[in-house]
Amino acid sequence: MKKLNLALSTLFYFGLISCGQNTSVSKDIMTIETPASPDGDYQVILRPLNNHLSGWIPNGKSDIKINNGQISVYSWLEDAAPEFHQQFILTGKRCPDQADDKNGDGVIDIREAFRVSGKILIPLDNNLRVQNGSQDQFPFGNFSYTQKTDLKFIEEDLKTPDLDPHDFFVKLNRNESLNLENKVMIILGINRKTTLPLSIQSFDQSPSQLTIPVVCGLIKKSPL
Amino acid sequence: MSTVILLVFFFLFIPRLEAETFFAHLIGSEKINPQTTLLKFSNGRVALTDDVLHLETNDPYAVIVDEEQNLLQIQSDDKALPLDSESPHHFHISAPPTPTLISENEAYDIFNRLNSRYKRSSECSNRAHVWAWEEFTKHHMTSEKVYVLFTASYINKHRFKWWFHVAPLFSIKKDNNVEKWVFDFMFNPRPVTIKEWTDGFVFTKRSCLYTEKFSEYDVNPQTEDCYLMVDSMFTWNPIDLKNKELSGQSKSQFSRGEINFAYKQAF
Repeated sequence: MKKLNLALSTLFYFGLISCGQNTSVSKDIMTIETPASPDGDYQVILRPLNNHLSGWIPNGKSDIKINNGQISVYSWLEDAAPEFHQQFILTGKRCPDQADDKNGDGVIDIREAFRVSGKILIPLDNNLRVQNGSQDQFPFGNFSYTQKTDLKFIEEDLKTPDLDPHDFFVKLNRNESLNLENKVMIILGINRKTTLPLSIQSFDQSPSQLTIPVVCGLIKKSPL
Repeated sequence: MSTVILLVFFFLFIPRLEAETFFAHLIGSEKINPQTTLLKFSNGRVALTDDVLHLETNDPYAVIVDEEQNLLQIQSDDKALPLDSESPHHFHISAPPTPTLISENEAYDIFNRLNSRYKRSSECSNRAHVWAWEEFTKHHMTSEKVYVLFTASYINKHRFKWWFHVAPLFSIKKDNNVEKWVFDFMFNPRPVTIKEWTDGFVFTKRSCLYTEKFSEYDVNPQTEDCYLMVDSMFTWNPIDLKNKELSGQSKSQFSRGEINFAYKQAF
């Protein structure tokens, strides 16, 4: 939005803006791209990954609504292990599949998932406002999860400096708007009693079992 | 992320054992070993018990199981959906309808337009029935149903939750061949072959034995992990497969009652 404001100010200064709906001034000079409104209903079909480790077939859905600057997230997960399930929105545009098990150990671990599905943009925990909350809490077992907040809080936090560019979290650029469409949503966590190959890589010092991806889906905007 | 707090939370929390309740009709039972009995229910769920129970097949029950499908409690309860709303005039003896042949592109179009508004804890037979019905009525696509039937030995070994799973099956023109692809929107991100589909549920990755007779599955030597059956899109669940073998008659059309039940339970 700030990018648009800056561009509009510049156009006013040079007396180029018109009153019409079309923001294109001249194809030869410049075109303002109005960012698509984030408002709308989004849906994520969360399909199983690594189900041979889960023992069951985890599945879920997430409905995300953005309306008048408010974002609400409702997710559910079924057939999940009785563990905490970290859930994240990642920056990538596709879920991992078996071909992404690069070390061939039969498991798509979280590092392999990050490689194709991007870094963590929004943890879907008990506080959507901040990426790095001090008391982050994720849902447990088969769950229903609901959170709601002002979108501006999320965007403000995501535009603060990335203090560790080498970790698995990523921030937005200062002039980048939050666009959820086609981003990846992923949920982690199998039973911690499950024996895993030693090749499994975890992150953030969490036990490996709790970082195994169990479902994944793309965020799709529902047609109006 | 506050790693320390998160780790404290992970390690200090005592994991809860989750019990689950469902409402369904008892379809059958079989001994897995001298002690343990496997109970199969109309919604596809199973329960394992070492108790000697006097339960009536086809009766509705409220069932509570733990996360390993051990039966914790069972009692009569009529909350389960009716077993079959079918009336006899919907059956016939002639051949099932010929599936529509579609291209690969059409297959992806169909897959992506399948109704995604299914509910949490919806039953596979109801989702599959609505998907097949909507394709048939809205787009004139004739499909089939593919059933995977899990053996008692597989269920016991893996403490698997279900005794069957079903999804729509479409016929795809590919080069000069016809391939059968499964459209299981809830579990697969795209149409898949039958083997890819069963691999998602059969953790051993063994192929399922194809049969045309439900009785081959029903009384099997427990040497297989699973059986496969393919039938017309009008079938709703394995009870239809069993009835077909017993009566020699197949369903010849969708039943409005079943469709209504399927929508109500699953969407």
